[in-house]
Amino acid sequence: MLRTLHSIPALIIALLLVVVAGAGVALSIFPAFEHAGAATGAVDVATLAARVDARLDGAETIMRRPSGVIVAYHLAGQAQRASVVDPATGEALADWQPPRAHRWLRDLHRTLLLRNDGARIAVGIAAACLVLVVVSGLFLLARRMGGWRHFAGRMRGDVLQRAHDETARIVFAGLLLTALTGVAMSLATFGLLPEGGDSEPFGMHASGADRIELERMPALRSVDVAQLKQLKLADRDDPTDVIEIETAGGTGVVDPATGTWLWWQAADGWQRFHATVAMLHTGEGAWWLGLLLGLSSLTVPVLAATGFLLWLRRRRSLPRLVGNAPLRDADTLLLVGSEGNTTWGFAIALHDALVRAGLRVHTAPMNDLRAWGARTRRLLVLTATYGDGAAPASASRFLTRLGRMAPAAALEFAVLGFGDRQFPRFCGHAYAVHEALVAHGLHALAAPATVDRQSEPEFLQWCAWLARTLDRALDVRYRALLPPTTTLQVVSREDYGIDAQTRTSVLRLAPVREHGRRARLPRFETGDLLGVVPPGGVAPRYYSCVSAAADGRVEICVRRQPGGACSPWLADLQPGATLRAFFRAHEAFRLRAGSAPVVLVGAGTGIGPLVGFIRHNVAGRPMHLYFGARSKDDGFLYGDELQQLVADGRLRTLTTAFSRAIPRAYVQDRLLADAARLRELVVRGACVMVCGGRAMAEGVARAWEQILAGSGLSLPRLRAQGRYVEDVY
Amino acid sequence: MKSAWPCAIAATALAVPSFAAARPVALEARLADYGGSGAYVAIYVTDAKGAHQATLWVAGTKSKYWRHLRDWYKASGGRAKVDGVSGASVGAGQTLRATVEIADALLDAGYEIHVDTAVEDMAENPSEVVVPLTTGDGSKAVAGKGYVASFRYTL
Repeated sequence: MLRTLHSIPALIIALLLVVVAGAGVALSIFPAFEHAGAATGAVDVATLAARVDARLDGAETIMRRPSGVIVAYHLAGQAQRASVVDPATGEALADWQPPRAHRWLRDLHRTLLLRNDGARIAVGIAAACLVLVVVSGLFLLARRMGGWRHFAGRMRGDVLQRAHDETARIVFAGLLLTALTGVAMSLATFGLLPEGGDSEPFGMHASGADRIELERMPALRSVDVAQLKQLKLADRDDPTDVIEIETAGGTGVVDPATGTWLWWQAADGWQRFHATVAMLHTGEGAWWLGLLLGLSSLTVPVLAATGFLLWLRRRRSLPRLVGNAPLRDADTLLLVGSEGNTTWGFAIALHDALVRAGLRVHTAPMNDLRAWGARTRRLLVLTATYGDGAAPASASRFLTRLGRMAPAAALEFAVLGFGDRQFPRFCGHAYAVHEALVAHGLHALAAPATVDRQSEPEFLQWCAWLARTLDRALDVRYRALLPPTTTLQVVSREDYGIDAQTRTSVLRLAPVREHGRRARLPRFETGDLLGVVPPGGVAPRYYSCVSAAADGRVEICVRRQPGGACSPWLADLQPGATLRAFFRAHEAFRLRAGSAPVVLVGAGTGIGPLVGFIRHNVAGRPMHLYFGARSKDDGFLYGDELQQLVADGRLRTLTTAFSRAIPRAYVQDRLLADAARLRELVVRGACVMVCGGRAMAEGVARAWEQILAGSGLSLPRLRAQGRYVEDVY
Repeated sequence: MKSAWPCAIAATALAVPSFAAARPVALEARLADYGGSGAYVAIYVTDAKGAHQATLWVAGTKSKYWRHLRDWYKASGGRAKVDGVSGASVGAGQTLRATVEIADALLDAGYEIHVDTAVEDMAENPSEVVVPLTTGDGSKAVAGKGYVASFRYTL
């Protein structure tokens, strides 16, 4: 619902808003520009009027622009002339005219150059939609961040999502102010808001006696020029004519014979409201605010483009179900909780496999749950988690609906959670659903299982468990959408390890000239993933990149796992052989910019990206590596190079742990032994990067908890700050 | 520039319905190239003391800006009847042309035609043109004190 409120109005008004905001950005520069040219100095209106009247023959009207520039209209011969005057002397400095570009931009901003009410209404509606989009977006963002308390926290997600979210988080206040004031101005234009104020009464005349000097008029002396909007002087040839003045505080009429007020009306609430709205929207009278609002409007095209791409991506992954049984006939209910629709990809693969296995399956979004089917025997829930443990879009009402339903003790169920281990409450919603189903009396087939970052092996592992539990053969054909691939050729290989069956190899690959195009590598960074699809395989396997695109080579570490689908083939490739692969950005495992120390922890092939970071450390940033391998002679990857990196200062310290040495040691033991030094490093701002198998990563995390105890820092806090990152497989 | 296109309008509505006998009057106001947005213009009839008698033409459709046509707004109390005698604002350098009905009783009886103008971000010119309303003086063009380069009416 919230997402629909956000996306649909945004899509409709995007182009219009880009034009209107673009013109608004350009317009926002004018007040600052004009302000820079305005003379300063406090003076009262009587003094100013006397100076202008003395210097300019036939002065009729004096206006103060919101920027502070004083413009006097006076008769020059037969024609009226507008001049910028110096308030200190009353002298005309230059002719004045509203800038032509400003008028054109304003027409574009208000009416798209159409200058009709239809266009004015369209722009007004766009402003109202923008209010809706900003507010709904704000709530979406808060939900994504895990609540308002975490609103200022670290952004997660891929580049596109972060570009959209981060921009929005910075500019939402400016956009909201611009949009709200725009709506108010639009309503006022069409008379839908009261204007306030009364017109001055008709028939006020001067007493007709001799006029006193402007400078001595008490009414004009009481008004500061900073308050002035417009002052119309009395006609010289008409003794009954009066002086009319409009100020920020109100409107008045002055008798030129006495210099006192004939009439004065202070601005009322509505007039002050409209004046404030106009100032906030245009920045006229508050040039710096104008610039700030202009800057926030500058991001409208960015938000529109990234938002559109995000919407497109969600749409593309919309589910297509074949053979979905009606709920009343189904023996298996498959409910899906998805935010960006990626979970649907897995759900459909499972749905198809269950249908092929002869089950009658009803698959639906979790929010569609209304009742249990008469024949439903089991419930399978595949759900993602949104932000910090919240329900994803298609499951937002599930728990409430479940609460209202009749208990179903005969039903058995299993929950599979999809999530991202970077988030503190990984698969939080899946656990919550599991608990709720148990509380509702359903029988759990197993504890909730999880899939990290759309890992196909984890998904297939769960499917295998499900097949055993159901005692059916499940032919799950999950096909991830693969990005375009690049052909790479093996240039060299180095093997480590005694046993040829389980050795580890460092492969260096180079791009191959294809279709007559120059051989080139797509952009990728150290730590990004190389996706390799083995011959005859469907699912890619991922390997961390040691090198970056700038190195001109792809370097990966492959541990040969006998019986594996990919690694035996890949590890046995000889120089000259080719393979197809693609790159996947791994934003969460990038080296943070800066000069803070870095503690690198890795074991086995996990050394790969860490070596890459060290190689690129030309600046000599303090890097400390803790590396676990089997032994000095078995699987000690990059042994010689690491010594060299220490020697030339790119690596500050190298600490190794050999699990097959005597006594055996693991990296976490080495970390604990250095606890005092590491605590000191982290307190001084160091970040920690861990790469390797899950068991090692868990051991390392426990070691860090001990190291940080009593330091005022904690692992969750470091993770939240992005200072403790893992690449775990 | 739609608003700037010289508009020749034959209005059939009566400017002052209470007067039985009326005749057409052609109004022509050429604006100087004052270099601003479209001007709001009010052309109206007052007695010698400035009391509003009839509104002949109002250029500029947003009634919220009419208060800036100050003398006209003041004199008519903001309640002038403008049905059939209003049109688009007039661009700089353009000419406003309109033909409206005027009551015979207003002619040669000491009444005056006033022209007020106002432009966004620029000065307001109340009664920048004041000419007697007579059957004789009609076709003589006069310049205003503000944006009106020349004004004339033809009976």
